[in-house]
Amino acid sequence: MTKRHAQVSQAPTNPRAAGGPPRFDVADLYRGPLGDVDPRPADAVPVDEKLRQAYFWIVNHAIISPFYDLEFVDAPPATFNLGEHQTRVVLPTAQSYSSYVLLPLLNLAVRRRCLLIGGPGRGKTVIATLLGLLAGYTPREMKQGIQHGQPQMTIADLLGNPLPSSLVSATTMDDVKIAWRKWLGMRVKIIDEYNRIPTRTQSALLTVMADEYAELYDQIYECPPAAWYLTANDDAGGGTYQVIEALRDRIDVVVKALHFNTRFFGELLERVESGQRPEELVPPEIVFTGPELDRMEREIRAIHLPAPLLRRMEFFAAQFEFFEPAGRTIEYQTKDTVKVAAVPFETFAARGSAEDLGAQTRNGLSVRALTTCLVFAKALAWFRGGREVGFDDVRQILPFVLHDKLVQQKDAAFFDAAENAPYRADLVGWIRVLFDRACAEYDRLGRDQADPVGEALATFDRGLEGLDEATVDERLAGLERRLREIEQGGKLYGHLFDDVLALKYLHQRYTNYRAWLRARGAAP
Amino acid sequence: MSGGAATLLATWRDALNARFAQHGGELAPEAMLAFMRRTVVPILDGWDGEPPVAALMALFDLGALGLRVGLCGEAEASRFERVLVARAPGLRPLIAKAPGLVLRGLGNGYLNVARARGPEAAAAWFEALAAAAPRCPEPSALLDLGIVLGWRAGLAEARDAALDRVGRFEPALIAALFGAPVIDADPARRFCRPGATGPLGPLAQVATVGGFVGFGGPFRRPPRAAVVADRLVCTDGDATFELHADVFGARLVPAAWAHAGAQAAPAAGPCAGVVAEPVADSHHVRVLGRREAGA
Repeated sequence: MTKRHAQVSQAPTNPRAAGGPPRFDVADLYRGPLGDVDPRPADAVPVDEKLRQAYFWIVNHAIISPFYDLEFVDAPPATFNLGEHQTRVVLPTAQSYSSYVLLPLLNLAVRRRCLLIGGPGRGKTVIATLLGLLAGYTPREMKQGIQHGQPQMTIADLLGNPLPSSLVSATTMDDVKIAWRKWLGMRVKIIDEYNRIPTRTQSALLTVMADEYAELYDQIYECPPAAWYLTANDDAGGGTYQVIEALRDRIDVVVKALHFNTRFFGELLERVESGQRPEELVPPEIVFTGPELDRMEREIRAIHLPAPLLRRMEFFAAQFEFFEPAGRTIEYQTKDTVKVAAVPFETFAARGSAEDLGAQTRNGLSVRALTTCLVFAKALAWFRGGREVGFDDVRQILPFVLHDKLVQQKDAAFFDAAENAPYRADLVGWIRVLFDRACAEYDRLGRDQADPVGEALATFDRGLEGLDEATVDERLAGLERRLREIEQGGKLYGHLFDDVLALKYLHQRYTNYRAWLRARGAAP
Repeated sequence: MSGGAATLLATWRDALNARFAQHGGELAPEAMLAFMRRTVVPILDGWDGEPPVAALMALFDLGALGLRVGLCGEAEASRFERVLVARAPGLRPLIAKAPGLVLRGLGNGYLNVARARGPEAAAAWFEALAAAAPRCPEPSALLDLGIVLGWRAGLAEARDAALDRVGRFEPALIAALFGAPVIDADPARRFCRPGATGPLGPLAQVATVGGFVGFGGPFRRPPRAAVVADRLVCTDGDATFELHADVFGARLVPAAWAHAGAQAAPAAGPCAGVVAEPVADSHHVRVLGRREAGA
C-alpha cells in the first residue's frame, strides 16, 4: 500500500454541466502536494461532495469492490445477453455505484440501521469500522466500540454493570450507579454477528436500537442518534440464535457482501506486502464532524419527492398487503390477519396468478418499511447531487430497503416459470422486477393521466368548509359510482383493495358531514 | 526534548513509524528525524497544555510530504519552517482547531505563491500571514486572509475573491495590510494604489506579460488579444490565456474554455479597465491601464 491510498478524489466527483467560464477558485491556492484543502468554513463545504469523496476513497483504496450494481443511465447503454440464460449485462452510461459501499455510507448519513450479510472474510466488519472512522472516531475507539455477538453475551456485557460500591451502599434502586458501556454513546454503533447473541440479550439490544435508550436497575441511559451496522454470515438471520422478529424488523437496509473478483488478486497482494490496513489510512479530508453529520441528515430530509413519483410508489406498495382469503370483512382481508391469527399460510390454497404481484409475498409493507423507502430514496438522490428524487433513485434503492421486509412466497405461480426461478434466491433482482411490473401496470392503467380515487382524496383534502348538501350528495354518488366500477371489474388486486378502503373512508367522512349539515339545518 | 512533544512521540511511536512507511518512500529517515527535531518538537513543546495527537500527526505529514517537494529542508530548516516555528505562538490556536487543514493550507499556499511569484514573494506571503494569524478566530479566516495576501503578492486572478473577503475584514486589519481602511473595488480604478481617491491619469503601460516558450513564456507565436465572455484573453492560435491585471501584478492564466471563442473574436478593446496591446513581432503583450493621476 503506497501513499496513493491517502488520495481523495478531487471535487467535483459527479461533474455536471458548468454554468459558464470558470473563475478563480479560492481553493486553487490551497491545492497541492500536501493534500487539497477546502478553505471554506466547515459549514460551507457541501457535505454531499464530501460524502462522494468518501465513497470514492473507499472503493478506490479501502474495500476492493469493483461492482456497479446500482446502475444509472443517462443515454442508451450498450447491453449484452450472456450465457445460457441470456443474462442481460448493461454498461451504465452515468455514474453508478457499488451497493456494498454506497448503502452503508448512506446509512451513515441518514442514521438508520444497516445489516451487512455475507460469508466470513468478506470485509463486513471492515466497512462498518471505516464508517466509524469517517464519523470521527479513532481506530482504538472503534475497536472498543464494536460489540461482538457470542452465545454467552449477557445484558451486562452489552449495556454495562452496576458499580459494586454503589450496589453495596444503595438503599433504593435510584442509588445504584451504572457504569454504562461507552459504545452506547457513540454515533456509529456496530454489532458484529448479531445473530449469535442470546435471545434475552437481543431484547435489550432491541430497546437500544428501536428506542435509543438503555435500561438497567431502573436507570436510563439515553443514546444519541446513531448509524447502526449489524453483521451476519447468514442471509436468513439464522446463526447460533434465531433473531427475534422485532429486531429484524428494525433493520432498515440490507447489503450483501459480494464475492471477491479474482481479477483483483494483485491488489490483495499489494496489501499483504505493505502490511497496512485501510482503517489506519483514512484521509482527514473525508472525516465528518458531528455538525456535518447532522447537516447531512437535514439536507437529505429536505430533498423533494415529486407527487407523481410518490403516487407510483404508493401503487407499488399497495400490491402486497391484500389477501382475499384471509377474511370476509374487507378490512381484514390482509396477510397480517393471517399472521396475527397464527394460521399457517399454506392453509390457504391461494397461489395466485403469475401476474398478481401480491401473490408473490407472504406479507405487506409496514409503515416503518415505507418510511425507510422514502428516506433512502431521498438519500440516494441527494448523494447523486439531485434536488429531488428521481424514478431511478427509487428503482435502485427499493430492493435493498425491502430485502428483509418482503417475505417471499416461494411457491407462488410466478416462480414456476424457468426464467423466474432464480428470483427465489436473488431477492434484489426479484424486488426490482416487482417494482418494474408494478410500474408497467401503473402505466397501463394510465394512472398518471387519470386517478379517480387520488382526485377524490385531493378534493376532500381541500376541506369541507362551506360545502352544501347538494355538493356532498354529488360527491357521495361519485364515490359509489367508482365502487360500482370496481365491483364490475371482477378480481380485486392490492391497489384496488386500498382504493376501496379509501373510497369507504371518504364516503364515511362525507356522510358524517352531511349528517352534521342536516342536524344544523334542523336545529331551532 | 522536554515538554509535551516527548510524551506524545513516545506514545505514538508505532503509529508514526507506520505513517513514515506510508508516506516515506525514498525519504531518508535522517532527514525526517532532523525535521522532527528542529520543527515539530519546538512547536509541540511550546503548547499550552498537552498537544493534541492530531497536531503531531499533521506536523509529521507536513514533514513527510514537504521534504519531498522542497517545502522543508533536508539538511537544515527551510524558510517555510523557520517562519512556522518563529510564528508558532500565533498559529498554535488555529492548528489546534484544524491541524491538517491549517498546515496543509499553509504549505500548499506557500508552494503555489512560490511557483507563481517566486520564493521571495512566497516567504513574504507566509511571514505576513503568520504574523496576522492571531487576528483570525477560525482556520477558515486564516485561509481567507491567505487569499487576500496572495492577491497582494501578485496573484491578480484572485482579485475578485480577495475583494469579496476583504469586505469581511475589520478596517484596522485592512489598513494594516494595505495602508488604507477601504479598498475600492471599481474595476476602472484597478491600477490605483489602495486608498488613492484622486482622479485617474491617462492610459499608460503598467506591465508586460507573455514571452516565447523557448524563454519560459507561454506563446509559440506572437499572440493577439480578444474578449471572450466579457473577459480579456490572449491567444497564439495554439493556446489561450486569460489576462488578469491590477495594481498588484499582471498574470496570464491558462483558459482552455476561451480557446475556440478567442480564435473567432475580433481584436480586443478595453475590458474592465484593462487594455492588452500585442507588440509587433514580439511574443509579449503590453498591459495598459489608468493609475491615479500623478502616480
